[in-house]
Amino acid sequence: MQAYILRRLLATVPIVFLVGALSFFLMQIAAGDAVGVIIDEEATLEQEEALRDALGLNDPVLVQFARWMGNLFRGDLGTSLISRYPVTSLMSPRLEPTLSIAFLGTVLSVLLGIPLGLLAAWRPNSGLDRAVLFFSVIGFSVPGFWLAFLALWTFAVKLPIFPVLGYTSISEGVLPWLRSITLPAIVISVSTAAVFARMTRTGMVEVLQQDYIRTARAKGLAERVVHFRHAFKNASIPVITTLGFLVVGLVTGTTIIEIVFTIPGLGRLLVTAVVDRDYPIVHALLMLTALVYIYVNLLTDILYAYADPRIRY
Amino acid sequence: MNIVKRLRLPAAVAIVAGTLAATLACTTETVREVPVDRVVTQEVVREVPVEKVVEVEKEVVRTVEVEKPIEVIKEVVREVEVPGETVVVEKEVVRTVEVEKPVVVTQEVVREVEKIVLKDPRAGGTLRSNFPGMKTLDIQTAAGPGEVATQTHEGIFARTAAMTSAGMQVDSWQASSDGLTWRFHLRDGLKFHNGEPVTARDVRGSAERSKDKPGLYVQFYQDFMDEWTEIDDNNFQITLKKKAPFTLDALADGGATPTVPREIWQLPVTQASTVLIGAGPYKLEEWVPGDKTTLSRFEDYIPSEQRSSFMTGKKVALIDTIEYIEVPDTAAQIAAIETGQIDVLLSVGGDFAERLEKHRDVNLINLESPARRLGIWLQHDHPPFDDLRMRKALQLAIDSEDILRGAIGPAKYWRTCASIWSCGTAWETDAGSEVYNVKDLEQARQLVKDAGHEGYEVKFIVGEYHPVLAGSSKVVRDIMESIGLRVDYQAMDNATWRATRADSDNWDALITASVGFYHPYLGATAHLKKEGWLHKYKDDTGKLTALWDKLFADVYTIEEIQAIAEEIAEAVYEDVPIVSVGEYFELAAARTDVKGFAPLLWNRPFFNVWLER
Repeated sequence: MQAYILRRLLATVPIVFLVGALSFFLMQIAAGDAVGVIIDEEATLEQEEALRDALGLNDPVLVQFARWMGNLFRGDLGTSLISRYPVTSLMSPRLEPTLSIAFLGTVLSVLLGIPLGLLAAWRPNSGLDRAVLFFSVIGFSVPGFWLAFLALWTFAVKLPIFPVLGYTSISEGVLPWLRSITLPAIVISVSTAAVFARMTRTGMVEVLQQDYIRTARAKGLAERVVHFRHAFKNASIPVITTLGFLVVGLVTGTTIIEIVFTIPGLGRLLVTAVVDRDYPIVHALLMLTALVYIYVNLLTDILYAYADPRIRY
Repeated sequence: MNIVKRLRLPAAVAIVAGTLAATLACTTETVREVPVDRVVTQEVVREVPVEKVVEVEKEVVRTVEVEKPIEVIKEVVREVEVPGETVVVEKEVVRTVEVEKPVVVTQEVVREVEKIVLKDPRAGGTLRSNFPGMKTLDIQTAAGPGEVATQTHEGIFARTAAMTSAGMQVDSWQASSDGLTWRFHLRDGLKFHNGEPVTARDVRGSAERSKDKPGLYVQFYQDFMDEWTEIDDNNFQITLKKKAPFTLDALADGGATPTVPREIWQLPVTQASTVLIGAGPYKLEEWVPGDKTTLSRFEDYIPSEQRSSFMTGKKVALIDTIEYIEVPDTAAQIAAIETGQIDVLLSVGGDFAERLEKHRDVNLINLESPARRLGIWLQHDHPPFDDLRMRKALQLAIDSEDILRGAIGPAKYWRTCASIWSCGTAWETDAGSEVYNVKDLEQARQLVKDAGHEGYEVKFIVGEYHPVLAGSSKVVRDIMESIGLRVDYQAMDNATWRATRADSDNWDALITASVGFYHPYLGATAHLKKEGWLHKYKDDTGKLTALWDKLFADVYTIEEIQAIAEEIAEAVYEDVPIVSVGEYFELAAARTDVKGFAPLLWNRPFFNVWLER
């Protein structure tokens, strides 16, 4: 198992570099560059070219790539073309808001989705099951931005329980921190909770029809024990798979939520960097996304082995 | 309204005459300098009570008590016992001599100067404003501090509410009789936020770094200025190659020359500064890129003694802290000001304006004049718009009301404007405007047919990131199609739009929303010159080029400049370097407890503003 984990960790290095290289060449295809953002609208073409020279954007693509890769091997993610600040210094303060929302979003999704799925599986095709199904369909279908606006209007404007905008760091107190991330976390957790509920329900209904469950029931075990001790562990493997993907989605896909709730997170940074053609930031964020994917997948694989002792690496 | 219009010119002339008379009375200089920009159309002057410094001199009688110590005489005698006999060798005796304890009281008179600061009762608090974002700390970049620099920086000259120029960092200046040498004196007590004094050398260095900044200033710097020298720390001199009637305007042009310290002005303009240091009433406290920018009062700032008017005169930092917060989503901006989580919205879109207008705790501020100009730029260096008939066809087909409604919304936030020069300014004229907004589709179709371009596919590039451009472009596309053209409508983001329009082959038409033509010497007028901008205006008749040359060739009276401006307006309608659509108003909003907030054009000053809470 340890050797397997080590192998997987080592494999991240070439993958991340590959993602970086892919991002580099893809961004070259996009029209325009950071000069259009930096320089005045009425600047002459000569002034634009002078700035392009100074930023090294007129160098051949391969020269730019070699320069960027060289810096990357030295652990330097580069400098923003626009602010001239190191990319790491722009990214690091934005990690906390994004991870905070993703963390609370994940917790809420699990706490809401899995119990709902278990409830639905308890009495399949009952009224309760249909209610959970209704919630799942609505939760999964409603666009996140619409839900975000609705939540903002209801719980920040009409009932001013939560702030309209901004993020409060956990260092300023747990309660203010929770207050600033609760609404966005609830919004992002609705769709993921809906998925969890469906996955859990389906998995449980399937497992509950297996022979060993019939045996357990024949032994006279309480229904609660049958469900939680015998059925749920086996039904949880597809849930774990989904959890992995959804966590990645929560970490890397909070862009809209960050924009609506004015949260200074990584998603907003990525959107701004893409629009401004601030390549070093885009490359670094895409590599970070790749890393998150790899590590969460690794964690998912480890959890498989825990959930199902037959799985060995 | 007509009476006002009729009275505007005589009033302006009277004011100018008065200004001239006052100037002549004060100086014996025989400068033929005509203050072309002294036409006062509106003056928003705010006198803000400031902190008072009272110096009190008082006499203090100090009583000093001196206590004389007790005198102790110590005699040491030691007694040593020898067995069998007692021999006194030494004996220790302590003898205390009682002496008097006289207390000497002296009186000394100390003159103390006490500085009492009578703080304005309105001072204090934190003002929160939305902000489109500061991506770099360099003021010479478009992505730079923008609004932040309004509070943190000052230049040697700045604009008054009437768009005239007034000294900001200079308190006096003098022109030689031939108008070619100008001497300036810096205001006393100017300091940068890093504590260094502002010197004439910094002013020159800052001007040098700004010299390529687009606008009138670059023309002044390149074509008119001969030498800029510092005489000493507080005085500098500018010598001109030829007379420039707009010298002070150029020095105040759009804040082109904010003064920065040596560590910034010595950087090449292609190397962005990573610090923000100015000499304005507020200084940068914290910058979190992409999130917020915090300013605090610069305690060492000494306000000018002049009357406060827009960006000039006395600036008092009444608010303790200004927080600029980047709120990217418009709905969130509106929700934030409605709930009081931000106090000021720097800009409001037409869609939400009516909602805010009805809100009891929010004031919507309509910056009617000068307004923004919506114009269609046509590429002149290739078909179809290299043909005058095609340009005229589009001019005839334009339905300004439709376009402005599509771009902005309710009619109270825009106006049709037949004048090429901004409506509501002293330069407004109807000259040549018979062809403006006539909506003559039939004649337009005929012209397209005559030019042989029926069915031509026009490459129309659209800055879709900008709601006004996106909205107006859709209506213009329909108009083009209605006169027999096909439209290749290319919607793009800012960076792509900028890159695409840089190459004239990439486009035939585009729309911009600019500050327009609010002054013959200022604004976007350079774009109406031959090869003046990206549209590569050809000026086949040479008429406009001759008029521009004439305008910059000599010093004129107001009437003479107005006459040339009218000729320019006529020539623009004749040769159509741009198709003018109309004007829309910049809107800002502030909570009702924000007092003294008087934004104008692109500036939203927060000095002389206070919170009534």
